Amino acid sequence: MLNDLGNIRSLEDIRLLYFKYKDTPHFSLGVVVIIILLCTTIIGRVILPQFDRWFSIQNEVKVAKVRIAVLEKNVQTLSTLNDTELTRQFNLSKQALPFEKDYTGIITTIDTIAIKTGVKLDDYSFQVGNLSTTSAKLAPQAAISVKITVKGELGKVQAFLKDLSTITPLFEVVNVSFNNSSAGLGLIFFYKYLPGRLEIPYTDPIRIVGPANLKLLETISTWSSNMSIIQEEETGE
Amino acid sequence: MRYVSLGLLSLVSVLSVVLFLLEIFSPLPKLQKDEQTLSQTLSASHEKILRQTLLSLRLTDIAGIVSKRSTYGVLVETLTKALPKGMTINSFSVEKTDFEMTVSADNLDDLQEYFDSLGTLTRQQKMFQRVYLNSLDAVRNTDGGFNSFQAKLAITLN
Repeated sequence: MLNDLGNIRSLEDIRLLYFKYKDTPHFSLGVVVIIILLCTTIIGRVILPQFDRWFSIQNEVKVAKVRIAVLEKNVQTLSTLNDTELTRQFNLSKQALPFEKDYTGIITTIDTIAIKTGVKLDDYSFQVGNLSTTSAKLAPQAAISVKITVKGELGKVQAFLKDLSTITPLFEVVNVSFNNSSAGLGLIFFYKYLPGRLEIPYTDPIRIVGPANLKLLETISTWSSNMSIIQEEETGE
Repeated sequence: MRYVSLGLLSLVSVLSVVLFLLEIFSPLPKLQKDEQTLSQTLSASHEKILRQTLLSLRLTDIAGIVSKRSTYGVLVETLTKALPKGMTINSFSVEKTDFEMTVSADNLDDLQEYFDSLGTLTRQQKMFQRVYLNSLDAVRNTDGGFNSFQAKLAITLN
């Protein structure tokens, strides 16, 4: 048979060979072997890569669906956000925690509270030093310490201390030393710079202000109003 | 045997065609287009998203500061309100959780009443962990009686 295969010169030779061997077990075995080899090749070279691609596409579809769900939710969230309200809330948060050191703002605030509570203010001293209070540790690069001395009876100093915690920008009283109608106060003024570069992938859910923070915003709004009222009273408007 | 192998070949061919068709008619291109459209919609409101994100981040910072900052004003108010008539706080100093103060009274009954009030506040454990009497001084008048009493207290805050 191998000799016959070596003598193939034309299609006619193949046809003759086919008729000569088609009913022999060798022919059947040969066909089966060829088909199995062909199937193996198709499976290895075509079907397996197709399966790979198909699974990969399925994964991509799954991920894309998740991303689209987030994007759709983001679009929906955006549509519920009122521009004016957002600007008001943003400005309030900026008042409470300014973007930069605002020495004038600090002095004005302290002066305003002092006038309201009836204490007399002595010298100021601003320091950028060791800020070791718990709250300052939250943002160690975003606070400056202020030392002040106020004069007044205990009731007025107490009112001054209390009012410092209900105004904007945010202060923290770090230490107090009261004696003979004079009190030395260590204060911390908080601020936080705007991030230099804020990447916001649209496929991340838009941060929603939760109920607790909405309540906080209203509190800040009240504190802000307190300051405005006091300042208006001072100027006699 | 020959038919089995031919069947196998057919099966493999059909499978290959089916997989090819599945790939062709996959929803991925449509999803990618949808994603792009939605991203474009959002990018038109980029500033709004930025403001909302900054607001949220800033409020988290503010909440952290507000919840952890000291409330010495309220503390002094509480201690002042608990004072019986005729008693005064002469001096006090406070830093972190250490509060020290000097109070004076005309009689021991008032002082005792104040100590009782502080004891109640400590038991309530809202503000104070411990109240410690550092010293109690009595000042005599010219008649030999006691003119006033002065107590130094150390309070550990929560």
